[in-house]
Amino acid sequence: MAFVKNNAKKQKSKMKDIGGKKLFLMTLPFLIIIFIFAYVPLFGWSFAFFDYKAGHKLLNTNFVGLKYFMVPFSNSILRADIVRVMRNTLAMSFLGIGTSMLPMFFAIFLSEIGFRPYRKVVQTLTTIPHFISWVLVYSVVWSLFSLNDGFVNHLLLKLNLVDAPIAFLGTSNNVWITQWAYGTWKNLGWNAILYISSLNSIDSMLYEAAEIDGAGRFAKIFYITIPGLLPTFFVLLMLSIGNLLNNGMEQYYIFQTAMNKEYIEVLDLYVYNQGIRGNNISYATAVGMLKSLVSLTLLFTANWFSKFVRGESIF
Amino acid sequence: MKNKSVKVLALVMAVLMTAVVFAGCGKPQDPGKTPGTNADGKPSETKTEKELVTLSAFIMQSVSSNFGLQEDWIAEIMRDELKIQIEFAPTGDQVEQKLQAMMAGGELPDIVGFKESKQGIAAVEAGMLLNLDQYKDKMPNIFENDLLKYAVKYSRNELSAGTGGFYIIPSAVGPLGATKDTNWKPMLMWDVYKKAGMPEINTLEDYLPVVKKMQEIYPENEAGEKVYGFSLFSDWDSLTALQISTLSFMYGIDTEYVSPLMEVHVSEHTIGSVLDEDSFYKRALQFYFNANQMGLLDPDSLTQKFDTVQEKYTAGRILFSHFSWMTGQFNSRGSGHVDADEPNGYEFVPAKDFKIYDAPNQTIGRAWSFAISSRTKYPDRAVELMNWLYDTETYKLMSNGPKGVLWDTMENGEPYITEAGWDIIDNNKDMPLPGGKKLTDPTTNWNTLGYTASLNDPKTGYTLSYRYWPTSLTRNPTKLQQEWRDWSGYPTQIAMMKDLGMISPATQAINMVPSAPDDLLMKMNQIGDVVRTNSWKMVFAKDQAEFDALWNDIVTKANGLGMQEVKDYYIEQWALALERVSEYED
Amino acid sequence: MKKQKNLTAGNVIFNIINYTIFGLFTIICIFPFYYILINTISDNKLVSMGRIMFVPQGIHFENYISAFRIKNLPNAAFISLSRTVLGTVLVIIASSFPGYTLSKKEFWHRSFWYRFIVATMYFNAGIIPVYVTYKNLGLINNYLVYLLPSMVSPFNLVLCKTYIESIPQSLEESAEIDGAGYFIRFTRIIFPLIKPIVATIAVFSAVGHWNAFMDTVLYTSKTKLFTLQYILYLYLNEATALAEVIKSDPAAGANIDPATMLTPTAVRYTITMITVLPVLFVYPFFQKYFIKGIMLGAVKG
Repeated sequence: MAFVKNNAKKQKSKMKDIGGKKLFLMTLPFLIIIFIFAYVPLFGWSFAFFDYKAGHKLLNTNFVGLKYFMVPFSNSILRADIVRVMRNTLAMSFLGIGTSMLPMFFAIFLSEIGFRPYRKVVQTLTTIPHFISWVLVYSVVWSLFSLNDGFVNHLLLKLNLVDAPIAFLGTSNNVWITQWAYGTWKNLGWNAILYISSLNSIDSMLYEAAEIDGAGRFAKIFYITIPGLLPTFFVLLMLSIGNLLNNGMEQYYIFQTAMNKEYIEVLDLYVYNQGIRGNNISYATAVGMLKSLVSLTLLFTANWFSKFVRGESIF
Repeated sequence: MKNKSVKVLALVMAVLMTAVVFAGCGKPQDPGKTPGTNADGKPSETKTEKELVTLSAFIMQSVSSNFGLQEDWIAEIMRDELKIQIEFAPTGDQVEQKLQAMMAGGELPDIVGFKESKQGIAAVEAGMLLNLDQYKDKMPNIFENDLLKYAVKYSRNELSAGTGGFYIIPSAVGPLGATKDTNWKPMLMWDVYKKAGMPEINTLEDYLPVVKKMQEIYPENEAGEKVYGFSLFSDWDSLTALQISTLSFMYGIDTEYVSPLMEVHVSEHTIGSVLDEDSFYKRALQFYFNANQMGLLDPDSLTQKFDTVQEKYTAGRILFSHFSWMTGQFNSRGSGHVDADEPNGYEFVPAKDFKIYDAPNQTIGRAWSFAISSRTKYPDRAVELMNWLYDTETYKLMSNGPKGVLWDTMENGEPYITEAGWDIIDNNKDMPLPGGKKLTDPTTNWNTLGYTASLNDPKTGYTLSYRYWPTSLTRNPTKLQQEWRDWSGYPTQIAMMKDLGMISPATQAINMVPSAPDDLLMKMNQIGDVVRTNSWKMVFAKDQAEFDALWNDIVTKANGLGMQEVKDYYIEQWALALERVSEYED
Repeated sequence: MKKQKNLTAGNVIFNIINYTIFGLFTIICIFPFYYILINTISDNKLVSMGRIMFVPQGIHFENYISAFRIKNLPNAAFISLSRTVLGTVLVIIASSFPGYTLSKKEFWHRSFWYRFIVATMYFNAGIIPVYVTYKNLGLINNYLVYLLPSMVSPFNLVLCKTYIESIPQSLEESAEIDGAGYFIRFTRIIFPLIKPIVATIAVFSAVGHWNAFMDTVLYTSKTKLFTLQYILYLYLNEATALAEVIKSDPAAGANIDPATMLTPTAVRYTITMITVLPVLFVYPFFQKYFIKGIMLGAVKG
């Protein structure tokens, strides 16, 4: 008896094994695509160790070792810069991560709107800012907030609320918060889409059961909706931790002025301001490489930590 | 079991990796082989009837959005005469990266236009350009052209990456600048200046009280918007604040061509850095700082972009301009200001001690240049095209249209634009030729041609472009121009500058300083980042003490980042350029 | 009973606050769009002076008419549309199916391969090696460059996998007992159940494809492959390119006619509208899918 059972188990595990290989083979074409488009170009990382020049054979150029990795730390002024830039980068990233629950609550409260046409209109229109490029956002913001012609300053002056116009744009105050607000305004509605669709996957039976048990509106949100959305939330959180150093730069580039540069300069923008992009391939590659390595380390650490604390991980 | 599968895994990966990398890296490594040999270059071109070929062109200095297969009046002519049509690759702010990528990929389009000599030299080094020496007999307009003799020599000596071959064809050969017109030109809003009593201006700083008075007379424009004396923008800054440094050109100091971090006195040939205690840059910063303290500087200068400033000029909200073209639409006839009974517009009002930069006679052309790819399928046809492009007759054709359409000659041979011609030019009408499109459309595709517009045609003695023909210069002045002429007593602004000795002729050596090596460039970018940021802070500083403290901060940081090295490099290279320049001048 | 509950005081107050906050936020979101819209249909002269704030003046549609005269526009629109449709279909296939297979614990070295995919989200090899790779694959000036590299998106794949894992296993197991293979189980059972996330991915991917222009900038130079976004980008870019040129040679400015120096503000705004409007028209159709998703969920439950 025991033998038969054992055999059956073996049989099953063997089946599973074959199944696993089958699954792998079925997925292989996709893996190959990933390999070709994401991994093969990584041969370019070798440029970081040479004085690379486009069109030359790599071996004919000078091997410089870690020279380009050391550039940001080669000088006390640059080291001070790096500290400042890292402070800004982390501040902006943590502001983002700290408020990453917003889209989820946006979706939840939106679903609480019973009047369907209103809900649909809100949902559609709040995604609009996502489609307007930062350059144009700036020109709209400028027409609202500039010193001379800004609508807001005109209004404040007319209402005698201020004596002199306020420099909303060329100021070093509250830079992190304002930039965060612009970013949130632009992407909140868009980021909520994912949660809105996840919301639909929650079993409606659960709500009915809860209602019979006399659960109120908030109880249902708290005990059913939020737990239903958490898996998605954690996956996104994990991925955004990996992106700690990658704030992008378009927004900050558009909004930077000499006055707010102290606070607005995140790593990507710093790299751009230092003329690294396009100009010096080897240096740019070195920076990109460092960022990739840090990102992956963060991602896997976060994953490990989550396994350790929550008992689950995303991979 | 597990071990085995890991091994299989590793094997799969290794095979894939080698497959792709080999498929990949093999090809791009052998582009062009030895530069110039062109063994693979000549396909079976039949000598009988010329076939219509399409050449691809990547012209980096072009700003045209007229990409794609060229379709205009000149394209028709080219198709008929040369049996060539051109497909222009689009350009934009990514051209640099695209060039690098194409070079790494081992192939350039048939015709390439370079924006910097550095780019061209790198392409020569990589063996990607055709050595035109083998086509000497097919390019008489280049090799046997007296106008281009120094340009060809310069290209061989300085742009061939030490090979001595002729790969890169310089462009814009000929005189440029104050002999005909100037880019840097301080202008004031004329009507307001008149109302302010036209005070004399002896030196740069004198503009401040004058502009202040003007602002008191004209505090708001018709729409009730506040008027400022000066309004700046920062989105064109490179290593320094461009809007601030550019005032140096009024005193014959270059802060652009040699390096934005250096100040070269183009007539006296002395060189210093923008961070020297007695630099002009510091004086310019002080100038704008004072302007701000006097309430003359638009406080939006820090946050607005170029477009906004142009719009403000159009609306007549700024009293001073330093670029001849920076007037928005305010000076256009359509605006109605310049021909009003009390004409208004931006007019030239120089300070007495100005020595306005006068661009040199460019016997060697400029950094913008053309070349032919070594991998082109049609080397003979590309050579033919370039030879055609460098014909002075082609220049005349492209800038003035065919004779009889827009222009004609008088009995004494002097060319002039006909009534119908002016109608087309002034109103930007389509050309009455097959293919149509605007007169200037073909030129914007290249953005630069072989010669400058003010070069005299050796055959006729008149300039190549209609813009400087005698009848064009004196034609139909606006009331504003008329009033200026009466006031100054000179027929043109250039005549005034020349007569009063307000010109500082530059030496061609400023175009001959090679760009810094990559390591130094990196340092310069780091320094530039500090200079740029602090410059704006200085202009908007609360008081003189803060201004001085910020200046000291720039100097300390720049020195810490290696400013001395930058200076040493440029001082040495400038001296070398001065030595070599005589080789290229008559 | 339900109705009664909705009328309690707390609920009413909550509803008022909820409706108001969303209303205000929507207005803030829509304002720039409205601002851009009225600027495209107002007198261009007033627009360039920044006079149009809330009410359009001198209404006309010249900007749109001239935008539609842009060379190559029909072909570019076709390329954009086709890459959006084909690209989105490919992305859906390449996210949902591997998402499914990787959700299976028995997948051969699952965690390795999953990490192999996720990690790529954080790589950036740089423009040049990517270009060289594409060139060797023959993708330069090839329509496939729009479809293949963006096909397997790790982010979308992760979303699919997470979603599939939230579906009760029991649904699939019954089919397994019937002897259905993985592929059949995926197409017959799983795919219909994950329609909401597929709709979301479709929105993400379609918008991404519709708005993409960098791949055209870098990997094509043939007019027949230009996308709509790219052509619009070139027009927007003219002013920037000009700035670059003047930076490299300020004296070049002397030869430039100030009238042609700028892409007028109104044109830039028009181009934005042309970009955003199609998305706004198509988006509600995708929304329907979300709602259908609810229905399916209900039946499934």
